[in-house]
Amino acid sequence: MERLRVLVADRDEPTRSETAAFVTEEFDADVQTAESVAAASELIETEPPTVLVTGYAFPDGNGLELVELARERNRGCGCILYTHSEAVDTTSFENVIVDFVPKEAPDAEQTLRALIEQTGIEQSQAAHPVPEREQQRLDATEAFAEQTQTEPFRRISRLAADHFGLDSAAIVTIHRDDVGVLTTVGPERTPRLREQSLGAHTLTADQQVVGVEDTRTDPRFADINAIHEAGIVSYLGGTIRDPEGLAVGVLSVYGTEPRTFDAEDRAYLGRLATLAGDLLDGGEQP
Amino acid sequence: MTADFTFPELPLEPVRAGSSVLVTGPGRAASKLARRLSIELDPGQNEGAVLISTNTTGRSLAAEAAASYPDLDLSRIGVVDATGRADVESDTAARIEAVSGTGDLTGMSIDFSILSSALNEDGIDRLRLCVDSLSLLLLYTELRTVVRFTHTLGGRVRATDGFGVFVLDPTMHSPQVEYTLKSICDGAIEIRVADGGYEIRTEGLPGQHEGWQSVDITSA
Repeated sequence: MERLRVLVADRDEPTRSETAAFVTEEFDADVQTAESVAAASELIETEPPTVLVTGYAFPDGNGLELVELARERNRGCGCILYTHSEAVDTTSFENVIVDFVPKEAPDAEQTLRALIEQTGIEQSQAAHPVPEREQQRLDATEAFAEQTQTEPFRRISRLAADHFGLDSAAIVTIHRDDVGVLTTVGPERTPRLREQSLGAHTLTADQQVVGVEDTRTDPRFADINAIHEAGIVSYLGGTIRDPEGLAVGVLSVYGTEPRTFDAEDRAYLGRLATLAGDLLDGGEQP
Repeated sequence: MTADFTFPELPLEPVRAGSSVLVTGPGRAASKLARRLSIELDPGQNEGAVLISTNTTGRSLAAEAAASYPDLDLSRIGVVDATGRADVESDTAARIEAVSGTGDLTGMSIDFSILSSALNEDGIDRLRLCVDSLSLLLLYTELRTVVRFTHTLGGRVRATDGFGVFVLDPTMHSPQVEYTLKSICDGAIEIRVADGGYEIRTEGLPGQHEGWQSVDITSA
């Protein structure tokens, strides 16, 4: 599991140190502190945190600005406003969404600890669906992504592209916040942020294979420019599971025109995705 | 271990603390069911409730709750008024906070935390949360933001061993939207009109009745 990186930003020195000490004591985490928006911004730019715990009012700005920046640099960053119940002006920040812990609450530290765990480890502020057994799945995905024997998987991608008469196919890996490409044939089209990824929705579907006829009209993807800029209009994705049943990758084919996929199409891609999973169990190579 | 949440007046078995459910159904029916799920508190568990309302003002909601449940202690209820009509002048014991409008999801998440904290400070042990409705939020903001909002509040429910209810009218959205939001919750409760009354069925919640069950939602 990736080590937590927590940034504690607060203008008040004793509060900042106390909060940082509390986080250090409770979590196996790298903890940094900042006393201003400028100092925190620099740290966020250098090494985006997994969790941001921030006050609201700073002499040079406010905590919601930091939330925006932290999410810009790390889409999955958990953001917690930890401050007194002062008036928080959400004008211009209506869509940033944060957890808020009033510092004066008797159980403030207990709540803060629970929320760092929820947002930093369980991804409870994600803008995409998260499958069950996610932590195990992430570990298995890392192992899958690091393997060097990629040629069989490239051949499977080629089989998929050829079968559907499409120029682009890939086997992608869905990590905590981003998307990796294990193999690709044809133009590289995969969006690299998980929250913009078609594969993130494939992983959490009831069925192994998910088809999208037209990303421009599908409400899950219509407002995601990265998909349209990559030229992805139609999509078929099949989940690849390792021997433990964990969803370690997605076999994806991309089309540049609207297209329907029938049951036979889905069954074929499903078979290829299953074949890719079988390779992880030492199965026969195509 | 925290006790399960119970619904003695509804055809539902207890639900594990920390769970969130998506309540789906046409218009008012889903709202009424959600209100019953969240306002009918368990007297043995020292519960309270926070309701985020996009269609009824905080003041009206508190008045309706008082009329429907004369024995309800309104000081156990908090309302985030997200109608944009800022009707917070209150002659009720319920705590009411208002955000600037239905598009202010940041304000809603913050006010929910403020009300939760205030109710906890009053000595209340655990909370039920109701967001009515996600459908209206989706008219003002994109799906990904609503997903983050639902995840965040669901995470808070999990972290505090509460119970969360999110309302969605599927007739207003594509099946993909419903599926995406359902996948964020621990389970779902669907309500439909049947034989002049209503029926519900559950999905993904362990230990529940199979199939459709008659339900009375008139008291909400």
